[in-house]
Amino acid sequence: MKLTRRQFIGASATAAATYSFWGIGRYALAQSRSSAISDATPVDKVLREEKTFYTSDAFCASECGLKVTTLNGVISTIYGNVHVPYNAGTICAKGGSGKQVIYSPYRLKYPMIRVGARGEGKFRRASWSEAAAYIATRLEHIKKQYGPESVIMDGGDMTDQDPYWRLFYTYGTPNCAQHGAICDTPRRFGPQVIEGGMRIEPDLMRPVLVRQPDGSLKNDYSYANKMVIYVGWNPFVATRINYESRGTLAAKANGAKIVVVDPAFSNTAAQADWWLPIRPGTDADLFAAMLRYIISNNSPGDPERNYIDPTFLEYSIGWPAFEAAFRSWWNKTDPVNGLPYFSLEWTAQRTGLAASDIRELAHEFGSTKPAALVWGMNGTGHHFNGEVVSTIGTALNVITGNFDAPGGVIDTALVRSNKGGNNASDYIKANPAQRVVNGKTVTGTSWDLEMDNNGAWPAAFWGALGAYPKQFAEGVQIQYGPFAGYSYPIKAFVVRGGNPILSASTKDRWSEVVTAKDASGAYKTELMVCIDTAYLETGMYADVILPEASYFERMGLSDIYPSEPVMYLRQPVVEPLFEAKNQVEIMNLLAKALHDAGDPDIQAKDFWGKYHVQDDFWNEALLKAPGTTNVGKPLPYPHLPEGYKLLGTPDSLEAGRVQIDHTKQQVQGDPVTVDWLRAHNGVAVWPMAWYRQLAKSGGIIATKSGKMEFQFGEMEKINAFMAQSGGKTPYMLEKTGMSQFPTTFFWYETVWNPYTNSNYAKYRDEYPFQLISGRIHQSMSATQYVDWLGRISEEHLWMPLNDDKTYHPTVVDATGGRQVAGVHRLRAGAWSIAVIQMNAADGRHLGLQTGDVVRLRNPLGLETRGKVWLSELIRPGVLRVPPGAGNRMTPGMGQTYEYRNITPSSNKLLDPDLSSPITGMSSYNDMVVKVIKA
Amino acid sequence: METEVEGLLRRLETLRDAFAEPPTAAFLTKLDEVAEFDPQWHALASAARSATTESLADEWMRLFEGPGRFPVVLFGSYYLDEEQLMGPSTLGVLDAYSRWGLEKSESTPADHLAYELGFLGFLSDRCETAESPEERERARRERDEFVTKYVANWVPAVAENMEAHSETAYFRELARLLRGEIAALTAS
Repeated sequence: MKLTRRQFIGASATAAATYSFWGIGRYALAQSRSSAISDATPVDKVLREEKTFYTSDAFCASECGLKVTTLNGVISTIYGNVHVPYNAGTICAKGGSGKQVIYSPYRLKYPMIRVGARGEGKFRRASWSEAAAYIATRLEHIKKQYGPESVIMDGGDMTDQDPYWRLFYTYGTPNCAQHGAICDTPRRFGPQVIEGGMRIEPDLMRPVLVRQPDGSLKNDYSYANKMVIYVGWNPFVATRINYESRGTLAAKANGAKIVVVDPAFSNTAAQADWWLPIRPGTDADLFAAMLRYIISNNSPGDPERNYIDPTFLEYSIGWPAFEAAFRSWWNKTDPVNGLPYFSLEWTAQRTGLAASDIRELAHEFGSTKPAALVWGMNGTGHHFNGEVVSTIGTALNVITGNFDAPGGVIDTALVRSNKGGNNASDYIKANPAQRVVNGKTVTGTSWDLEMDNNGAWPAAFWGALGAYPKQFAEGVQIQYGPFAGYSYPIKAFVVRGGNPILSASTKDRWSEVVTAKDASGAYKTELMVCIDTAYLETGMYADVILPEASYFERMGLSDIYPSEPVMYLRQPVVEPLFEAKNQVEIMNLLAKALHDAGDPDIQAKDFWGKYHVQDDFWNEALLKAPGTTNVGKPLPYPHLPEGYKLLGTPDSLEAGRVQIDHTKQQVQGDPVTVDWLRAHNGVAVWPMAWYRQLAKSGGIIATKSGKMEFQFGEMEKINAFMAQSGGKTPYMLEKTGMSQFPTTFFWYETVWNPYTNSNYAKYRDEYPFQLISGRIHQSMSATQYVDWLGRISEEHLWMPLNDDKTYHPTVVDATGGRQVAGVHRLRAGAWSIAVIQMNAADGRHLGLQTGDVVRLRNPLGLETRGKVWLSELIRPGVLRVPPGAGNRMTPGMGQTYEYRNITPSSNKLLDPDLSSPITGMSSYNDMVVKVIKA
Repeated sequence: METEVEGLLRRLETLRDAFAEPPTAAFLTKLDEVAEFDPQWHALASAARSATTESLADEWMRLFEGPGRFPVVLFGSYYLDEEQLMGPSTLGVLDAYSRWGLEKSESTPADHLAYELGFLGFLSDRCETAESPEERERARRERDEFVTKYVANWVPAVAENMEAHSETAYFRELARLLRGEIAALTAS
């Protein structure tokens, strides 16, 4: 229809006086409900409104407690929360960089639907309802066609994924994963099987709230530590265990000896009394030698050699068989060096350390009480045989009487508060399921269809995320349990807050499987969804991107590996920008869409009819806090029954404002709530017992037997489970020569190590460098969008070797009015990037100088490239790169993308077909390379 | 005849809508109607007609939304406050809206170009239609100050970036119109 000019104007408004286009449509400016501010308004009401929030970080896995100030609704300052003992007011450069995350113009803003090919990065904007319907329609199709188990939900690298797990467990898939699967599971294996925990750390988090012998409660700052040995662990840089940096220094100042065993002179090594530059991948050798020395030379009557505390025999089972199995190796000869296993000479040959140093370390550890032997992510968690390391390490701490002794070690996973139970895992474990297997209808539960524990990874207690590409490509083969013989394809992958395509194993293999197509040209994995605040590599392969509220805009709970029960609140500090939504909103929205698409398992009573606001969800989660047991000397709550489970706020338990259920052996105080946390500086701290080792179990442990298990009950159970289905050996376990999972001492070599594994000895000359990684602040997958961190150099891994570059044509004169034409310029040497740390002598031998670009090539023909940084602070023959900080292919955020072609990625070189045989962990640090000048 | 202020409001409205979201069919129809009465807009409407809605939406995403890095940021504080959103200039803009009893409708920062164009429309209207001379004068002062402090110092950079990075005539033409309108407001 043609309009006249007047009609056209009139179509918008009849006259200028009422033509208020600014008040309608998108970006409308409407009349405020509050009165307008004028010159007459008091200045204090115009200028500022300042608020303080106690919240927690989630930018990295440390999740430090924060105190955040807002000014007029905008984040102004970020400090550590002094009331959270975990970080006690401290934060690192990442923690202080939160504004660069939430206020980045490049954050994800709207739901988007892919319009290009996967990996191409082309999307269109969509509404939430359209995006949710898109996802729900496909999920319902997949559920009907292939079964809900064909959907994987990966909750990523943050601990507040429960709303998503609740949704997908209720949908019916048992396959909910998270970052723990690719973090350091081999490191956790020993604690898991011996004492039921996960993370052994030195007891040096201070303050700790301790019940005193006189009955009073005291924030204790004393350090009982006399020796701390960190093996492949660098707590001074970018770790989950924030308190270990300040605690280590304080313990040292108090007289403790600090030893660091690491191929590189890390920041932690710089603070140590003794640095032992071990050859990569030989931590098991060192631990085995220490154990042999301690067993061989223990002399109870000699104060100098009273290594073993025999009381551990009272609260353990299986030690004689464990020791016998260990001793059985002593007379065997290593085919690589011809020496008897675990002898000092054998260990010296393999580790590259002096035999006298190994003997001294074993002696000092055995004779110093209390002492802590701690192994880390890179040194243990990322090697094929990390399970061996953590098992011997746990045994060493237990038999020397250091487990749960003040100043010894503490399993932080066992003392922390519970915060969960509403993720519907109970539902999925009991939910009946039927499938036709080999022509017969079989009944079981949805949990029996879980892809790893019933498939190729029966003992992978956190799943085998690094090995997923094989299952994407070949489908899941159920080998054990009622559905043995059943198979199903992976048809949908929903990722929230993680970046598995870059970090779970090799990016090339991941991108290959998620872009694979069937004969009709359709993607075999029918649905890829990414939920995040940042646009990372995994997002590039998504069909749908959902913008999640940042950690300053959403709620959650933090309880990261403290030495006492602590729970602190992540609360929204500002309203979500753009169309970002919090986890509970997204859960409800997707649930409603699934319900509307006809899913009978998704009902209002479990989602949008139950959790109206996010407080509702987290209040329910807090009902299980702290969930710890009243044990130790003195008891944390002397007036409450020993051995009973504790529930409720610290003040109600302290006041005895409780109900005691003797049948359940449970004490219930006032439930912890979000409001209670808000009113108490954002944190609940419950007291611990100072002498936990005097508990009847010899410490705070969680094994089925109630004792330290050197006869691994968990593994016996899994072996029996496999035997019921024919006993087929999982394919990766088979590579170690074992047919069943070990139930006592065991040994296998790591891979791609020419110095310890005869299968790889042939590569020693042609590929003379061992490639390892070293975690730094900039290593987190999403850290890259904090450009400020580019101004910091770190550990000869993240160094100012940028090329001269111009970028962002933007700047204007701050005084206004005059535009400054041109661009930003980064001069060479002004910006830190991921580099390859190389021993200076090695560099000279190869004719290299700092800044030279080289290619690293492994025997598989895989390559990465980057600039070398020549350094005296690393063992010769070892190259070290920061994981996740180089070769970043997403145009997400930050300068790192700009330097993607001159920065290295160690993940590109790892063997995609090898994962740790028990826990399924990617072998990130097992590879040899040659260096080729580019 | 369209009055001067009617013409200004119509141009500001069209620019606001052009920067609010990827071009929709409804917007392109409206653009045709605008161009029918204003020769300055012929080229833009013509460029739109020679493209598809889908291709314009693709180009919009590439220029303004990504995801990831994109060449043209539509928020003032990015230019005025060290490449971050929600800087002091954003709060200054928000204060200006508040002084006139206005509040924004979405969770998008107040200094998005579309909001600012709408606010300029509001102020331009008040310059003409406010009941008292004092109020009209106050609106004129506010508009001058707003243009100087929060618009003219970064919007030309947006136009420049659009011209430098656009692969379609539509967005280059849109940049030209934006630059011209802001220049006219600055001159006035």
